[in-house]
Amino acid sequence: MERDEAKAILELCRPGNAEDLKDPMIAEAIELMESDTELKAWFNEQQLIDDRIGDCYCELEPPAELKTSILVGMRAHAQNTEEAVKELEEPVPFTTPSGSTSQSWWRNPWIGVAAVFALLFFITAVPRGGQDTQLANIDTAALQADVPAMIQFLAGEIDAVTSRKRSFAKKSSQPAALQAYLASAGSPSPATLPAPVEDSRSLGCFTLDFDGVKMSMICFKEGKLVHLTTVCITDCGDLFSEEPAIYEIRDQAFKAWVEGDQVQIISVKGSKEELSKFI
Amino acid sequence: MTDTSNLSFDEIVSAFYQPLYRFGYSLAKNEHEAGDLAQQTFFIYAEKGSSLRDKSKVKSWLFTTLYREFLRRKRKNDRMDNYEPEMLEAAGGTVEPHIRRSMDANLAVEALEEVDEVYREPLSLFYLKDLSYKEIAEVLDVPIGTIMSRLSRGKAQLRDIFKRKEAETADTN
Repeated sequence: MERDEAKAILELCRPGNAEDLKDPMIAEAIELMESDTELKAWFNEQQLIDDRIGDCYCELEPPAELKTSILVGMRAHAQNTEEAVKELEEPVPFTTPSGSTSQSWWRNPWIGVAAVFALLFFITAVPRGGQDTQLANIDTAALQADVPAMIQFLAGEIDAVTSRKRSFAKKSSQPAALQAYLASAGSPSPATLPAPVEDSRSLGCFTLDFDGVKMSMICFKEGKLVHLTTVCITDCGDLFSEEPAIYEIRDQAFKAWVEGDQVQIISVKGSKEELSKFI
Repeated sequence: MTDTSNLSFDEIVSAFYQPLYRFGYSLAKNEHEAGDLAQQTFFIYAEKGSSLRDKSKVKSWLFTTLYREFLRRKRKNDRMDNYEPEMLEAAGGTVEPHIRRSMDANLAVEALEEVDEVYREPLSLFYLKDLSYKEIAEVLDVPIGTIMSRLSRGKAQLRDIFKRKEAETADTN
């Protein structure tokens, strides 16, 4: 081993670090140093300054409460996870509106009268040959702009979420808890989360039915609201491909693509440009 | 260097929260971000650490995780550039007033900040003394030869800067 080579290797050796001394390459350089006084003098000088820099650097103290805060945070998280798992395992009870009795609804004669009136109203007021009810929400301008009906439907649903007309079926800041909930409810649950939201905090999720097609939506808070919709690919025909398609409707930008055996649709408020900045 | 094979979670936190914080600080240059990076690293460890088969690798796993978490946040902040003012504000990233730092710690941190960026991360890990050069290469995901040359050049720069700063400090006192 040449002196220059030994110098380069000795640069890796820290003062008093036993593990460094055990490294065979460093050990060989140290052996050479024992017979080379000039190399030894150089090394001792380097070690002095390294020792000083290392000591100064290790005086950088973390905040006093950091360790406690880490341990307390971990315990709270562990407890929260246990509760979330329990919550998932418990069946969701049907809620009875306040003021109602325990009597079955079908035993109430007034419900029957109301149903007859509702049926009469439906027969006389709803025009024949019209579109399905969900399609009634569709923006006609967007129809001309080649935005798939499914995307138009989602735009309407997102409007309902943002205007708080729709509430979440399950709330959680942990996307994994929502994915598990959707899967347990037999709804499409994203197998993987797309990169823009994979580390984001979630708000909640709900399921949708678009003309018999089951869909799920998870909402995230990533600075602004982001919605991830998942649909089974067999329910979408050839509508989407692996090549992402971008749409704009009702001040919402959508990006839809095929991911494995699912279609994922991600959307944010704003234009296509807003979407490209974000996703 | 600590043998991590038989340590409990609390013992792992006790053994590594300080070096992880220091490494986080050298990356983020921000006390809160450094603390948050350390906390997030242990959070990820609590979630995924059980899948780590070789428990003696906990130390380098923690440093690798903190480094990746920092890079992930950095990428995210870069994406948010000119996006929404309140998000930028929340993202932080400015050098803080030097609270809680001794004169010597200031000297080391400031000297390290003056070193070329490419040398900062290996140097920071080197002077923490917790990881071998091979582990440093693993954490930063660069070949051992590259780490050796970065350490050698970086140390030469750092020594010069450190000596100058030390002399300046002595002059002002």
